[in-house]
Amino acid sequence: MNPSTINAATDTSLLTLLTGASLPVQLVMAVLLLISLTSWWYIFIKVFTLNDAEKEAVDFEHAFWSGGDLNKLYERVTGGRRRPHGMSSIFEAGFKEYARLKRQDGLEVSDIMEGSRRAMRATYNREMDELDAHLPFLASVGSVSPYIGLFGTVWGIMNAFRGLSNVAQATLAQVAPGIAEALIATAIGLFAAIPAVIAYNRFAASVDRLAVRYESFMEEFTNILQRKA
Amino acid sequence: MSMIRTHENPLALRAGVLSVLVHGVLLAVLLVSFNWKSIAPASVAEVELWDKLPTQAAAAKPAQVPPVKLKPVVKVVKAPEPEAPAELKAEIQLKKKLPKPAEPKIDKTVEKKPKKTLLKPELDPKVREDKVRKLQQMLAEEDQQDARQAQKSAAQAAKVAQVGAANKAVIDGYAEKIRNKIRQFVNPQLCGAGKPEMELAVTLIPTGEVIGTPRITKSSGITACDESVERAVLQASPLPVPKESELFNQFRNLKLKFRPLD
Repeated sequence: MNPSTINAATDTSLLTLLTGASLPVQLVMAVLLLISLTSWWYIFIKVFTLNDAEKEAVDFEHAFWSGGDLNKLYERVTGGRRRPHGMSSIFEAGFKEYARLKRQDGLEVSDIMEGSRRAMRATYNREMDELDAHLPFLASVGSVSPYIGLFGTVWGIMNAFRGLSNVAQATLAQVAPGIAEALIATAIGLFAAIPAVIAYNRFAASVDRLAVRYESFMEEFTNILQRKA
Repeated sequence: MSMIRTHENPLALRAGVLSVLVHGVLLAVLLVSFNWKSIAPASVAEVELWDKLPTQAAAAKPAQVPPVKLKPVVKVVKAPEPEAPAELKAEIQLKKKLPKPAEPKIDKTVEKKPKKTLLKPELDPKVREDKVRKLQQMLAEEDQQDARQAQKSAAQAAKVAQVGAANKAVIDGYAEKIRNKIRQFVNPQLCGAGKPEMELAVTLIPTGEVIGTPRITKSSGITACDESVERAVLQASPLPVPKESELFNQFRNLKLKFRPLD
């Protein structure tokens, strides 16, 4: 009967929900949108870099175990346009250190091995740091953004109920829009959090697998160098 | 602290575009789904309309019924007197309103006679008499019709009264049913001797369930009895109420005289 209530009921489009919210809720939504955009940006960067690193590891292992000359492999690795990364950078650091120490006289085999091993370990740490980049951010987004969204929702619902206190007879139509507005914040928070958590877990697993691969390569390469020494 | 590592620079733009794309797709999906949802609240609002319909229908009915029954009356009156339809119409309308149309008729005879004498003063007395008789006849006819009409309206009123009485009987029947149902749950020992009588105010919903607590608007004088009846009303919920929304409106805020010991 009352046309205004009908309008209020039908006018729950997404835009009115966003524009009708109070300023703190809108701020929360803006922050969450920014977080979501950033986390998706990092997710795509991470997908590309990790895929790249995995492909590089497969390629390098293939080249390494095909039984060619290590010197030739070293030249090929360092001769490329790009600075070597991933497994080839570990190989490059270890082999360079080994060659350098080998040239010096009066050094024990164990010293040479130790030196090249240390060089490989340092490069490994650097590579791991690159692989781990942005993962803490994704973890934070996954755990914190639901709370930020919840904060916006609580604030919005508080407002909705405070407006209700002036009304003698409360109807659902008076609370519903406020709560719907408020719940948008939680929705955005969850939208930011869910992909971030999934991506974090996936990337962490990928990085762990790569780390194991790098470490076993280091051990095997040390053995090969020891045999040569 | 920079946002990305140096080796990620070539990927940044591609990833950024993809990220914005993901959000755009999600926003589009959300908008589509919200458009679909915005239809649902409209139907919810319709339910609100339904709630107010019965009283409106009740108000509209009496307004709608008379025109249908009036039409034939107007035609019958029109036929014998085609001379002054405008004047007649006005008179009919007057008659409709007034159950006793004696006064306007007298007015008319008084009004018409001088008119005719004024118009035709040279008319001889015989013709004049004739005319007057004719007029009187017409008036008598009209009188008859009036009587018929009055009869009709009386019958109509009786009918309405009958329907009202029927409704009242139905309402009383339901009230009695409600009393009986409540009585089953009253503990008669608490109401003592004598014939305690009280008045209850109960709010009901169409299913007959009691909303809130029943109020005793007039106490029986025995507090224990009042309380027992209050409990009995709650226990008796849902109460028997008519299904028709028009009849139920009488029960929405039910005021009930109640003798627990009958």
